[in-house]
Amino acid sequence: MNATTGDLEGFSGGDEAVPDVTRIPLRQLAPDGDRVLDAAIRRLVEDIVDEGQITAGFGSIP
Amino acid sequence: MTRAGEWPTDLDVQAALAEGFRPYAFREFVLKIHQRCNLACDYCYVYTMGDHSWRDRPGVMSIEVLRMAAARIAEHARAHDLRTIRVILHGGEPLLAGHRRLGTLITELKNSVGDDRQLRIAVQTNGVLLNEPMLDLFRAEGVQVGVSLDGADNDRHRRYADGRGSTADVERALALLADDRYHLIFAGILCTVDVTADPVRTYEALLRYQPPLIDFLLPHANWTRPPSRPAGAAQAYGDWMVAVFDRWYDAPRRETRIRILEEILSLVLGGASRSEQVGLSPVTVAVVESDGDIEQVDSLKSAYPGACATGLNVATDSFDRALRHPGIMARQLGVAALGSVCTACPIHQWCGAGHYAHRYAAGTGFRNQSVYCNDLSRIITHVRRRIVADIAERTGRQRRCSSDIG
Repeated sequence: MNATTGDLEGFSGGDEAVPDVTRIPLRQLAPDGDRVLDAAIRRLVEDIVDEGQITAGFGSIP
Repeated sequence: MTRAGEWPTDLDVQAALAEGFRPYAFREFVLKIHQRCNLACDYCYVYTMGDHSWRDRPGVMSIEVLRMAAARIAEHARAHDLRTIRVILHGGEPLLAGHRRLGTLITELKNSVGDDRQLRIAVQTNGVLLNEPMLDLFRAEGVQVGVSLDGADNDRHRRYADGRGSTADVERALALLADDRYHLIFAGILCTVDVTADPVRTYEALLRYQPPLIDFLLPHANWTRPPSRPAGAAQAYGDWMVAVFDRWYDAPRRETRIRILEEILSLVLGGASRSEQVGLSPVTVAVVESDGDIEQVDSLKSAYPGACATGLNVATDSFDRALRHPGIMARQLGVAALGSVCTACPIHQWCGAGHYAHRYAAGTGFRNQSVYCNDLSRIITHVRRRIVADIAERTGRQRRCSSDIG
């Protein structure tokens, strides 16, 4: 699971670069902040750590 | 029901299985416990888009049908060793079933599934009948409550049959859900996008009710029945979502969750989507009608009458049989279900051709790009641009910090 621990090298933040989850140190990028991006990164870290099967659901029920 | 000559009618299920495709078990079951509705919303796919199957079904799901459905759900959960199952009580308007019957339905469901699986029950309601006794029942049973409301301009579309607006009644329900007694069971607000309404005003109007989540839905439309757009606004829905995104994303703290935008964020960051609106995750939802018919998600009724039918019924068929229906399999194939226009598109992994119902065109079926293609492209590329900039800024900041420490 180097998805959350990889180093910074090789990641380009240019507009044409696609953020690659396997290369961004997401855990380090997700401080205890309360902004939308913080929550999005935390969710991604959880998804990777849990390795659960992600399927698409219905409607507005979380 | 699939139509001859239209995809996925010609999807070769046996060949796909022989080549190694394995269907994903259903994890979410939508029970149509009441066929009628006490509102007459002008965009409703159940009543206003040509499908009249609701007229021929029982108004209320009987306890016998509910027991059969619950037994099939339990059977499916055991067969696939599912730890968690979600059941959504839906309609029509599910609260028309009444307090007593709802209590019985919930008890029957819990008894059938048993204690060895986690059963998460939710109800999706228009809120008109949502009062304290109902909420006491749902709180006692741990049932999550989602409410449909279209923001500040709700009465434009969501009216009673006699023309009266529904907002005042729904606001009473939402005030209860915002109360400490019931806020824990408040799942969120479902809002159909009206592109002529101001996006930020709509978002902020919904925010007043303190929803934990807002689910903005694009109005159901397709290539045969395109969405209405302001003249010359080819990506009006995308622009609308961009305005909401910027308002939501730039807030100093996260004020609520917005499902479609969260899913796009996850996709852009390299994750997966849990919504059928974007991405390529397999859809694992089955619908049980009030007569026990097993169907695909009923938003397909917006394509043509009977589009969601499978010909199966819980009285005689398992959910495993439904997993072999071409229409259901088509929604689990990921990129293999996309047409050539989509696969050639650089953002198809994130867009996923959008909601399946929005890809329909009479004559070819569902293997098309979304009728909201321009809109999805607009919002996805915008989110990506914002995220790339912010990630770059954060990594740059970290570099500077590391360098300072070194």
